[in-house]
Amino acid sequence: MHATAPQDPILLLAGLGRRYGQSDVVKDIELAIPRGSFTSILGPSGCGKSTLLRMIGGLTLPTSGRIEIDGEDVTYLPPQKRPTNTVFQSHGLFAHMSVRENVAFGLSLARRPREEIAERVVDALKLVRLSGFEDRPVDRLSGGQQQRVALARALVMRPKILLLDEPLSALDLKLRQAMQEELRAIHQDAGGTFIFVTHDQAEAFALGDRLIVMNKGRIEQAGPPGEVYARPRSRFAAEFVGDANFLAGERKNGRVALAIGVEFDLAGPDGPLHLMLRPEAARLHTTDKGGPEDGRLRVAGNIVEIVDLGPFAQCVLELEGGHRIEIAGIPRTMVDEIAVGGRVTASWPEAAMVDVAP
Amino acid sequence: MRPLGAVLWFAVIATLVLFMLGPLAIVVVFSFNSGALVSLPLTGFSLDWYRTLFSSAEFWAAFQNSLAVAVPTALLATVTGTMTALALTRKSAAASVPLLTALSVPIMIPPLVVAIGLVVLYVRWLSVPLGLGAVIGGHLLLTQPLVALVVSARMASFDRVALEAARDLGASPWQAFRHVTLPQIRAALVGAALLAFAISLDEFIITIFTIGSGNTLSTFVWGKMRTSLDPSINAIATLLLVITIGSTAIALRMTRYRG
Amino acid sequence: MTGARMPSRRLRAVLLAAPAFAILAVLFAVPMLLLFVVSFWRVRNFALTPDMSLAAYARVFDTYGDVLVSTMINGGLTALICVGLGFLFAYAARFRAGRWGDALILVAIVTLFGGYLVKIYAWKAILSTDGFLNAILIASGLSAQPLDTLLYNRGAVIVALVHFLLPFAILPIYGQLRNVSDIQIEAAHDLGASGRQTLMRVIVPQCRTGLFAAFAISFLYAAGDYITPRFLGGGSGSMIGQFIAQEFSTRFNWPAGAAMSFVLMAASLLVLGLVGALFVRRRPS
Repeated sequence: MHATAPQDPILLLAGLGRRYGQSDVVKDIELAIPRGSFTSILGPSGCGKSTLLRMIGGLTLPTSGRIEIDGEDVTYLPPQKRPTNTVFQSHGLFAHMSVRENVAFGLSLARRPREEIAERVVDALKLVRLSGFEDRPVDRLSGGQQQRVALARALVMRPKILLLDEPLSALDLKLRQAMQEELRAIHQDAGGTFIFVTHDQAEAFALGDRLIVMNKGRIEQAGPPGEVYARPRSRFAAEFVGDANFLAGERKNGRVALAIGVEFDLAGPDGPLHLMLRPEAARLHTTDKGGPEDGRLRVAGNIVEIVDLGPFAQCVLELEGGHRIEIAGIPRTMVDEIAVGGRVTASWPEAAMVDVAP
Repeated sequence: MRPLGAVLWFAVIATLVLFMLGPLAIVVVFSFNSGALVSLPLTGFSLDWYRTLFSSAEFWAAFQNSLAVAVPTALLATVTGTMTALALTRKSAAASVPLLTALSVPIMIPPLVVAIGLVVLYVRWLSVPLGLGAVIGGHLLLTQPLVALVVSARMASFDRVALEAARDLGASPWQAFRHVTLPQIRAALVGAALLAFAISLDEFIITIFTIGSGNTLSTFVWGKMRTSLDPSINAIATLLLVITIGSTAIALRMTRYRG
Repeated sequence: MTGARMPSRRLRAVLLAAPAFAILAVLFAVPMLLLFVVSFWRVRNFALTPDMSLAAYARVFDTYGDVLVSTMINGGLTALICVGLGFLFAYAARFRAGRWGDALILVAIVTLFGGYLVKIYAWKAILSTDGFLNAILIASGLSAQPLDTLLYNRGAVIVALVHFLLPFAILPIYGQLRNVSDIQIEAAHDLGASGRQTLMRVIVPQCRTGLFAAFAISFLYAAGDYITPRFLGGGSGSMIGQFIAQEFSTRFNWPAGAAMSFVLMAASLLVLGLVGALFVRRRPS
């Protein structure tokens, strides 16, 4: 299922699964994570993404499969013996310790020299922009500050892989966006491999240079975020990473007839098929010009709904036979020309449609 | 987890549970045993000890006295404790902690000291006769702080906005209490009253010092314990266990005990 | 004054709290004050005589010094055992028992209200020469003769006190262990802590006040008890409370009883102060 395995992966998962009683929470995961990458794992709650992360960190043991970190089999190693560290959703800071003591905890367990601990704690706090907060008790920090302490506490260990389990989901939107930016900067400054679990698609796109979409314990699709967005392999992946129109049709001898009443050539086996079209890939025209020869499909319809978002608008078009499609990214200049009830034409390149499994 | 660790933990927990429940279980089991000795082997099922107990006029007198103390104690403590809790939620949290602590001092010092203090007061300064009323006074000291603690714990999770909304809609303070506060804390009040009842029923030291003559159930048990090992103690102890644990269980259900 | 028409909030709060604090003042604060005053009086010809004498206190230290020390030792031992076992039990209920944790806490609550005299009576029945434990020892062949050494000693008193006080120790510790989140435990392991390191550096430090509360409750109650030693203690297990009761009710020597009460409470506070200094570390601020 995954894209071609990278050279020298830092993390290798083979046939990894976790079963609770009769249900497979995670099943048959095959995955290779490149060294130095920032991977986002995206999926709805209950899809097994957190369990997958916990298995990598050693907090949950797998019931099948293998985990290799940097070529070493760590499948059954306890968390304290793994070169990974985790930032938890509800931070899990030690309430009885100061910021400094929290961040120094792991290093002092590892019996690093006192000067080294002091120096690394200062560096880690500088990295998360909390210099000067060393002696504060952690319960007197704001939510964002607490999460940054948790980040520093994990980063200071210089883990080969840093695991982030929805660390920003408890924060409000503004803070979350600021923290996303900081996380990206920290990944660039500190290096290392980050794996970030989230159920928020905007966050997954903002952060990762690689995206893994999970559903029902399996990986639906893995690849660069842009590729997953533009060429989703399944209806689930298509819908989960953004808005999508699904156009049903039938293919016969390399010619596809869509239910909305257009035909075009597309190679492939005969039979029914579903094509995905992103709403912003279509364009709206008040006057129809051009023909089929420019590689675009054209349909006419009535506007039934307009949502004006300011810089852009989106609208819903009702086509013949009652089919509806959604069109987004309508430029400002055009918004004043259209109205609910008006008749317009929509067009999009044939190549913008992606064949997805139903 | 290693299986050895699991076995070890099981053994530790089982031993502790046996230590905690064993003595109580023995009392209950032997209350239904025909023999006069609390020792093995069991000699056979019998309700004789309960018959002996229920045919004793002394027992019924003690039982009546226990109710005559525990019921008024529970009611009065619930009223004064709840009023205190209501008063303290109006103040800042900073003031309520030391006040609740002050109210709790009588349960933190030896009951013997509370008891002799009461005797000195009643006998020497107030010339109040010792008796059931004197006992109730002592028991109020022990129970009203517990009621206040239980009710203020409930008030802590109470929606103040609802109260303000009621006032905004024209309710007087009393109406707001009656229609908004009371329905929400009713379960906690019943629970607190039952706790107070159980504590009063079980209390011995203050009771024996301040009751003068006569018995409650606990001093009745004491009398039997001192004279001989009378196995009807098993029966009365079982009854007390059932009443106190029963009312406590209901109380905890109603107050949703949270540690 | 606007307050003349309607009672102010503050006044209403004071009125609400008044009955409880009136009871506290009349039935507790005043008696304690009187008791303190009486402790400086004398008894002449079986009559209390006001005085400013330290005779009662002198008598405490002359006659009961040893018993006081022994009381503190018994109380301290009881409290230490309660804290140890209480932590074990609370820890098991919180972290080891899984879904049985609530059932364990229910056991603690049931024994909390199991009856004070009933428990003492039960231990007498268990430990006496013709009692339950001896029957088991003989039946299992561990002992040929009934042991008459189980009862009437320091050990019997401490066992019964621990049984009575253990739930009082478990509940405050458990209350604080519930504040230690599972995430914190996972984070500790994730950062390299072994099980023991997690216990000592993450769990125990966060329930220090619970441990101290457990110690304080157990100690105060054990040191002030007089029924348990009187009933199970015999000569070696006697404690100061017995003699307070004796001086007070049998000999009608109220000054002595009062003085002993205050010495007991002062000694208890002293012990608690010392233990508290060890137990409770100052938070970072």
